[in-house]
Amino acid sequence: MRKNFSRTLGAATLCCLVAAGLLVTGVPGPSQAASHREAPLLAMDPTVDSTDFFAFRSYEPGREGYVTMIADYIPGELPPAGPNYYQLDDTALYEIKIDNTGDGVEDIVYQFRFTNKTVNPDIVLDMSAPNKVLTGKGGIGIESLSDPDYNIVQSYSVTRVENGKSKVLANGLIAPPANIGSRTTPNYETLAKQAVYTLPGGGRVFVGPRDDPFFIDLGSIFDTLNLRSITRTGGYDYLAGLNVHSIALEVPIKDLTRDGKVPTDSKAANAVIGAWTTASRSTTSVIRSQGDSMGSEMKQVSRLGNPLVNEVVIPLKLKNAFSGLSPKDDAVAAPFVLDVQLAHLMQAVFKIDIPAAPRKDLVAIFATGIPAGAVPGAPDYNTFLSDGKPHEMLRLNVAIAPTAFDKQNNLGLLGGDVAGFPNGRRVGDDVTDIALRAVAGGTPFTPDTNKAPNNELGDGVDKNDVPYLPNFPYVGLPHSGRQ
Amino acid sequence: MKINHCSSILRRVALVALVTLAFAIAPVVASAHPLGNFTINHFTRIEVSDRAVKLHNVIDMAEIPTFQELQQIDKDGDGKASGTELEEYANLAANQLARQMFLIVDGTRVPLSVISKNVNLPAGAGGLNTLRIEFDLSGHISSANSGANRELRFEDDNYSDRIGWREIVVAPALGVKVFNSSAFGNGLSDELRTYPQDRLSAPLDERTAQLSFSNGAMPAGAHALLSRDGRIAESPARDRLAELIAVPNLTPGVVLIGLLFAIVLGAAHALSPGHGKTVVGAYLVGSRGTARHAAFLGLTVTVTHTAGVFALGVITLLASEYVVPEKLFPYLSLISGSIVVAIGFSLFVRRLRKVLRIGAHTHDGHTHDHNHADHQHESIDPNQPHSHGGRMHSHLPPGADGSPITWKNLLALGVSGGILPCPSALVVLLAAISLHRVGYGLLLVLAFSAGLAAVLTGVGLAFVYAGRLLKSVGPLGRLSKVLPIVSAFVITCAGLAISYQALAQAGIDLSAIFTRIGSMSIAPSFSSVGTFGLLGLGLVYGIKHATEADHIVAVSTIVTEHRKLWRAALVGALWGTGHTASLVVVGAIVLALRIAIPERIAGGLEFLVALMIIALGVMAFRRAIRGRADFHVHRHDHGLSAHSHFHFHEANQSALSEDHSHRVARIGFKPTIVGAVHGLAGSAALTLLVLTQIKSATLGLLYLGIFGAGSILGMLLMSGLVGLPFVLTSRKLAGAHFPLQLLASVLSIVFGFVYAYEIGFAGWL
Amino acid sequence: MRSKVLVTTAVLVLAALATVAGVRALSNRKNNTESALIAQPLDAHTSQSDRQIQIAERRIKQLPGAADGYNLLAAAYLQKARETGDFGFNARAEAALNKALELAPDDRETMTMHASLMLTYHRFREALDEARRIQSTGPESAELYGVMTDALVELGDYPEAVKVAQQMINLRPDAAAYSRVSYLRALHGDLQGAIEAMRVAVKASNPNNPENASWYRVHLGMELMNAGKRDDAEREFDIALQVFPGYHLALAAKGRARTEAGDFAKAVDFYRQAQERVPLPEYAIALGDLYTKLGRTGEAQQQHELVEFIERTVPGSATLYSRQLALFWTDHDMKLDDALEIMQRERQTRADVYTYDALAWCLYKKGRFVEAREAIDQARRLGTQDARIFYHAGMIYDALGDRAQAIKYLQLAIKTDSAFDVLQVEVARQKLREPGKQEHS
Repeated sequence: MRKNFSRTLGAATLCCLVAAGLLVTGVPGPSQAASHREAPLLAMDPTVDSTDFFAFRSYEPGREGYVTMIADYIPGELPPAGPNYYQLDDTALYEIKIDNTGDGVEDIVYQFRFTNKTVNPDIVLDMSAPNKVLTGKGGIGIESLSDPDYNIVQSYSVTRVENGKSKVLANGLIAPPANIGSRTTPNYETLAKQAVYTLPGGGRVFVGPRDDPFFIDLGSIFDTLNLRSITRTGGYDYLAGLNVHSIALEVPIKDLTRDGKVPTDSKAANAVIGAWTTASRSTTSVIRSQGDSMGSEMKQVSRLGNPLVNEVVIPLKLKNAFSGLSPKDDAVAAPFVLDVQLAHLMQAVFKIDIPAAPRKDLVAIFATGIPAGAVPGAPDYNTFLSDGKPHEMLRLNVAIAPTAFDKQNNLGLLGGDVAGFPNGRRVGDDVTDIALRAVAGGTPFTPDTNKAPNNELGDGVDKNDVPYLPNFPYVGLPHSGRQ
Repeated sequence: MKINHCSSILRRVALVALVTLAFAIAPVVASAHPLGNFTINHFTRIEVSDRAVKLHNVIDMAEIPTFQELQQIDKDGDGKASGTELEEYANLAANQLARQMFLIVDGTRVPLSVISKNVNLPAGAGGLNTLRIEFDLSGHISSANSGANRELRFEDDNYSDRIGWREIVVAPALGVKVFNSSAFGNGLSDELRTYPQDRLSAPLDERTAQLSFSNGAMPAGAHALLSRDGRIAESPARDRLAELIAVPNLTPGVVLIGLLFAIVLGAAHALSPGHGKTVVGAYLVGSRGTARHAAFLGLTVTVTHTAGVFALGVITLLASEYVVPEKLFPYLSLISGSIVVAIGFSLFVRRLRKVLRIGAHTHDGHTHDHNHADHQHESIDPNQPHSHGGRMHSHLPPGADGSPITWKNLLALGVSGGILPCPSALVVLLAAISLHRVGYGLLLVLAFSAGLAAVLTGVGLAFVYAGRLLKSVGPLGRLSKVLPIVSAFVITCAGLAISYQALAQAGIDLSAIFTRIGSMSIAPSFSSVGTFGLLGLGLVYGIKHATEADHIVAVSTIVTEHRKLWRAALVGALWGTGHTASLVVVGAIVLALRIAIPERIAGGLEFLVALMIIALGVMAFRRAIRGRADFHVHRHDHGLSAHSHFHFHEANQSALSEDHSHRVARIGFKPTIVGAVHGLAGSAALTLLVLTQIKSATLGLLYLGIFGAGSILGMLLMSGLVGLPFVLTSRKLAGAHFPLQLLASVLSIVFGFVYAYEIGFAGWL
Repeated sequence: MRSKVLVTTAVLVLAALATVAGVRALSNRKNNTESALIAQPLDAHTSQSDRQIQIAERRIKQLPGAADGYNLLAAAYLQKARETGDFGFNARAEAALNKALELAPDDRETMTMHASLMLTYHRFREALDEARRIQSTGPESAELYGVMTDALVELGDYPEAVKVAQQMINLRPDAAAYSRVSYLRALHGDLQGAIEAMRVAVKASNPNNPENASWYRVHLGMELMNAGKRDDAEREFDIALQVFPGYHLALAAKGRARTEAGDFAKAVDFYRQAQERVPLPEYAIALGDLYTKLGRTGEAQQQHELVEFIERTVPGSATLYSRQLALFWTDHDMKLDDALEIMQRERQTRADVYTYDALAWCLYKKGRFVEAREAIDQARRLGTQDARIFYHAGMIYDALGDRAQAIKYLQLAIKTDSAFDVLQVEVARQKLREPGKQEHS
């Protein structure tokens, strides 16, 4: 128990470090050394740090007409984080962006803005407070989202922006509190269900804490790929027991395509969309001129489309810049994936052959999309968008029917399941194993190296610690603060 | 009263001395705290036995917190922390700190009682004070379900918000198994004396420890207690002797073989260094010993060794929670070493004197007589048949050198050879007890000891015959004179070697001291100046120390026996030697262990001094009276030189020779022993103060040594001074001599009683 | 007979030794057993940085040749130093950085941390130059802009500081940038703007780093206090203590707030707690003044002695604590020459408003009023709303016989912070009461 706990803490820290950029340490800034003031210098900003981004055609029965996009923020949330439990930042702007024309410029944007309200001003810090008892209006426990014991209520608005016009789809939606424990948050599941809202024009939204759906032997990977097992099982999931905040959005397909239609031909150009999430913080001028105030001007501080892109293909020196970039400018980051360090590392560590640079295959997966027919033997579809420049985003061919929850193969395309990664990314897709194989060349893209062990590689973790949901918002319930 | 007076002198001694010291050695001893001068550092050693858990705690405060504490300690605001203020503080601190220490055994908190405490102010960076609080807590736990697995949790909540080095170490007592322990079995900082200087590794932050322990075996799958290197420490070499006791079933055959084997092992053990083989040989050769002597020696060794094992066994059983036999070994060998040195030195002195006074030859007969008298004296003991003396008589070829074999020396040698018990013999005994095979165990130990003795005897014999051979061939005259001296010298050296080894085992590396001294003399000017300051002070205060009333009284009683000034002075010198010896020995131990001698024991020793003084007084009194009876004899019987003996023989027959020889025999030894006892008593106070002021054990020892040298010098002068009236009176106005002597004895008796009373009053009894 | 004595002595000695050794008992016996390592239990005291240190050490074990393990370690130690307020950890950080530089001489991460360490050592010029050099070798780094801003602020080059801070926030707006914006605004007298920026900093702070979060809270509270909103300020301090219990900065802040509230007993209590955690001179000074105010002269004396002792003990404290010491001495009319000397030396390397302020006060106490006014005018050049600066200005003008200005500034001081200093505020009031010099002469 204790050991697990300490491991979890370790993992948490690791995640924070990931947040800082793959164990690139931030600078904490010097200590309180008397007569001058030392503000922290640390770059870690997990509240706006996106851990995962998912985009897939909804596989909840009856919702095939929708695309679900999930942006996860705040890595390594420790369930017992009281009294100040994690919340998304009400001074930051969270967005999910869609490019349906292939130029790397977002055509449709969904914006999420948050507001925190404190019920009991005398208890300023605690997310929950026995306000009902204090006011003699009942017992302890947050029974509903409107329960007064939910002391720091986080509500949010959803805005859709399309060619310059923004429209507030919903307002005052409430994010559920953390899963504090069986007394404070009894029957959390029902509480969380209340936080799933239907949006005008169809589609649904949920924002709140969830189990971190990602699973990876993080420690071993950071230990120079010192994997306990390089097959699918036998590793240790360092993200087990940790939570994240999920922004889950379900949108009708037609609201996303370039022509507002629902494509049926998986080779049609309008069948493909590219999506990513960004978070922005308000910037300001140091010396204020009259009237200007915080929040008037925002600056993108983090960005995520494809999984592991930072870890795998972005050179160290570009990581910070990359998170501020828009896909349309990704060319500056090229040739970022043409010769991947990780591949050489794997060659050294696993003693395997790797494909020679330049790695057009990786460019395709991450930046340009997979052209139709590029994958021998695979069903004929593409995740290719018109303009030829590299734009790093998660491409989804919305013409491909989803695979039922229980039929999915979490190796996606490599597992013969075309509805999975790299065609979008489903919550359960084992992108670590896929990426390892892709980088090692163990895919149909690179026939020469598409052999064992290259095409059997794995990080030893092939499933999550918590079951996913077969229906919206798909990600599992958050761990309770009191296990 | 007297104690306070005495120790307050000493305190001033130490304080003054150590101001200088601080400067002298600050650059050397300054051990930077791991995290700068804000820190409060913790060390706890959890000593687990089946009856009690003892917590040995050290709090080491860096300069700034020390300064803050001192502001509180220094009640009278004189800017200095007086000894009493420190003692008060120690009391307070120990009890306060104890309250924030939680010892939970099997789920229930164990009440802890302070069993010892000590505060001192070692010099830190730049000679600034740091504060070192050492206190031992003990909590009793029911040994009811010993053997079962028990859970222990320890938590130290003191200064929990203040950064500092926090170290916890677990030390199971003999026979106790500790496992699944979150704490390790060894420390990193030598109890916060030397912090690892590696700035990269994080300072230890061990605030809690959890472990299981039992008297029985470790349960399968449990993790054994680790040392910090995490390596699998190699298990101890097979203890064959211990295995003998553990045989599954005892058939007569097994027993027989076992015993034989034990003898062999004993013999083998004897061949291992440190059993004074050389000493034995050298002694026997030098003093023309014979097979019988060798045999007697062997016997003594056997008896002592067996006894020693038993004694230690008993100590271990009764006080297992306090004493670790292994810890005692170095000190035991230290004792044997010092005994050997004593013998060797006295022989050396005597023989040298003998040789230097060639003219004395003709009087060899007297020594013979003395010996005769000597064992006549012994034969006064009812259980000593006269024949004994007769035998001995026969052993001494006329013309043997001036210091023949004496049973005392033999005995002493035997003791020195056997006093250090073989660890495995001890294990056997304990195992035997736990296995209810006590009888067999004793037999084994006995057999083992016999084997040990056999070898020593053998060695002895070898030397004896070798010596004879040498004598028969070699050019008689010279060699036969030189040989005894050489042998005595060899003995002394051997003794020193043993003591040196023992000290080294006790963690006192003398060579380090000397190198330290060397390095200081070549070190930056001010530090070497400081060193001279230290030497000077040590000497001065040593001399001063010699003049303490109780010392002078004791010595004067002995001095009354002597009529020659140089001899009176010699008495003083010998006293000083004994005094220094015990001071240094005890000092060495105390400094090695970094603890002060508990008040009770200190009091006890002071009390011992009182008794001794009374005894001396009584003896002197007796002598004075008897001397009255035959003044004529009396004049002579103090003489040691041949001349006085001449007179003696002319003067009367051997009727009274007994108490003559009695006295002759005592010269050299009595003062030494008296001095030793004084030293023991003084050491309590002195070492405490050296401890409080000197960080490094070696320097502390050095200071003690110099102090001792001073005391020798001082007493040499004093005794000479004291002796003067007696010398004069005995020479010229003999009439005045008797009352003087009587007066001295009576005085010392009275003083002794008063002293004893005060100590008793001072709260020791 | 003699043998008996011998044996008895031997026995006695043995007994003595047995007891001596007994009282001391056994220790550190090597336990010779097969083994498997058990992790040290993590307890409540294991902070973020402690865990980071553990991870860093593990990583160094795994990849001894790689610099990033040591970078991680250095970062952890710098953080630990923040949490504890103890410089010892900075030394460790430095050691780690040196090691990292051995392994990778041009690792920007390492060099950046090293530059920030220079700030800790008050080697602002070096920090600035180093940061600029690193910046020139590669892509923009918000951390480096941060280091530069801090250095420039301390050196008193405010226009440049503002420029760099702007670059910092433009590159990446985050808590680190906001807090610098906040400070610069405060220096320029824009309290509202400072508060606003610091509020966002609090929001943007890393929830996994309680110390950082609390640091922003504390400084938000400080600005609120300067704006006369003590209740709001104290709420922030309380939260800071809740987020990072026992944070010495927060405790001291509470102490200051309670002092202003005239609740001296509580103030003493808070400062004491802060001092128990880390005995920084400013805490001793504050306590000393509070005790004086309470008439507990003995304790006041002890605190003042402690200040002196720290000054003697802590290497380089004349640099680290220059301003505290100078003001402490001058406020208590002691060691005026030393004070002046320290500040004049400081002035050689720094031109920030607070250095000028302290210098002015030292000059004033030495009766060099004209120079004092030149200095205080420099201290006021940004329009910083600081009661102490106003007070010093008032006193200096009074000494120069400019009664009107004197009254104006003394009133300003009291208005800005009715209790900016338990003892000095009384002097200010007194000054206001006494008739002007003109009437006198």
